[in-house]
Amino acid sequence: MKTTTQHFDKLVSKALDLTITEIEADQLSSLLDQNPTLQRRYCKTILLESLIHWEENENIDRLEPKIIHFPFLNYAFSLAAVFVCLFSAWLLHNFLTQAPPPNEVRVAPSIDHVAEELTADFPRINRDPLTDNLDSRRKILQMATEYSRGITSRNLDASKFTFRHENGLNMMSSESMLSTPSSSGVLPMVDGEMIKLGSMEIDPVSRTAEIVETLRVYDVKRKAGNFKAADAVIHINQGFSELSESTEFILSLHALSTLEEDSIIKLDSSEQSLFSDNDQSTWERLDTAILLPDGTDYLVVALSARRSGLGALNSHLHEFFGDELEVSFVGI
Amino acid sequence: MTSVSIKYSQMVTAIQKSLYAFILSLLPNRTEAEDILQETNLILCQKENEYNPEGHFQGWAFSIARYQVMKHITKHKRSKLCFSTDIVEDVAAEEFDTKRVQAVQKVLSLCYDLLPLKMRFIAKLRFKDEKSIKDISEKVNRPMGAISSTLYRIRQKLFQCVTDKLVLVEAEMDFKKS
Repeated sequence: MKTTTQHFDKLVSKALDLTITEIEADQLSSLLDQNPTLQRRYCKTILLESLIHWEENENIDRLEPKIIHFPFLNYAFSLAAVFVCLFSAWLLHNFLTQAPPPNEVRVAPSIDHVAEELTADFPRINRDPLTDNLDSRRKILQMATEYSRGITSRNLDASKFTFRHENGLNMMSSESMLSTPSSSGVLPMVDGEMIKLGSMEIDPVSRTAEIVETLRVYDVKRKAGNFKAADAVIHINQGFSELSESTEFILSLHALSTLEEDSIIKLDSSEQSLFSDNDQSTWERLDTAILLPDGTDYLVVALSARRSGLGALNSHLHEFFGDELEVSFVGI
Repeated sequence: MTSVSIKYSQMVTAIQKSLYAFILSLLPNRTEAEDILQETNLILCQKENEYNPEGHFQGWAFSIARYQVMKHITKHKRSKLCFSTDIVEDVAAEEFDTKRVQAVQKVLSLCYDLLPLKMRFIAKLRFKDEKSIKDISEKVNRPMGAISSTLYRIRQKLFQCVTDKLVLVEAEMDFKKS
């Protein structure tokens, strides 16, 4: 019996590690069939496995160093550099006669547009992930999202981020992608558009729900030393909730630095939170500021909405908005 | 817009761990089980009006979860292993009872801390960081077979430890209650 139990336990262990073969799976099924003792043992093992899973969610280790490595970034840079060389030669004479208008907003879905931006703003070959190519920008976005709050699991589509040149800085923005006219009885604050945050992700155990949106990523590398601080202002609102649950909105700024070509660290961050009322007709102001540490390469602006308690369970049915985001740099 | 009463929300929240265990017992794949748990929660929220307050809530929720598992299997057809519900269902209702789950969880955290350091490291990679056997093998520079064996032994140790201590903890909980 002991041998059968050991064999059974091994099969269950393999099943849980997803390494079980078809034949072993059949063996496990037949062992379980008509054997209440093994059925009970199986359920006990499964319960332990599932509870370890819950333990994991309740005891997240937040002390690990926040460094992200991109092992393939060197290859991406090399490809991008070759790409830029080819296009630079071709595009250079065009830009001698046709300078790009300042503050032009372009949706940059293709690599050609990225190359145009790159050559227009930086007539020299550079290795800036924000401007090099779409793949690099996608990595920067992933990183920015990680550092915004580190909880979202959504895959951001870098091609849908708008590339802009503002106050002498290159910047990626998701505002166009998140833009919406009036929704859930909420009207935009000034013009006909506002930012609508994505659906909240619900954690039924802790009874919390949250959505984090990375709104902007600024490249401040070339302006290092020219300014000392940045501040951001946004206005927030939410659709009507029958449970009258208030929502906590958090506006955050994150100063990031590239350690080497393939790793990035967070130097500092600041955030300000505000509990929104349940009145669709009022917009509430939320602002925060950050002193930019030496070595800051990127500044990430993120907006999150969070709910907790019983009302959090159906938060995915509600809508949350931001409008009139303004970011200014002191010392430019 | 679907809204859920506070009492009902509390009931849904209270059975989350039991529900996840039940789903995992039918479909031993954590990622897929998590997806099904989310789907089941949504349906539970939508079906509040259909719930008979005099009925057994956990049993009702399990029946919805069971249906979701079957639907998932039919739709994806990629899982090597999915058990017929009648194999484990009777036992599961008892083993995954909310009160029992609470007791097991209490013991499990004690037992987890008692694991040898090396085992705890492997356990962390697999259970907390959700690394695959292949990833763990590369990280600790040991063959995949050795990692599988270690995980088997970790589960054995936890199982034995929890079985030994559970009687005491349940007795303590009953004593405190009385």
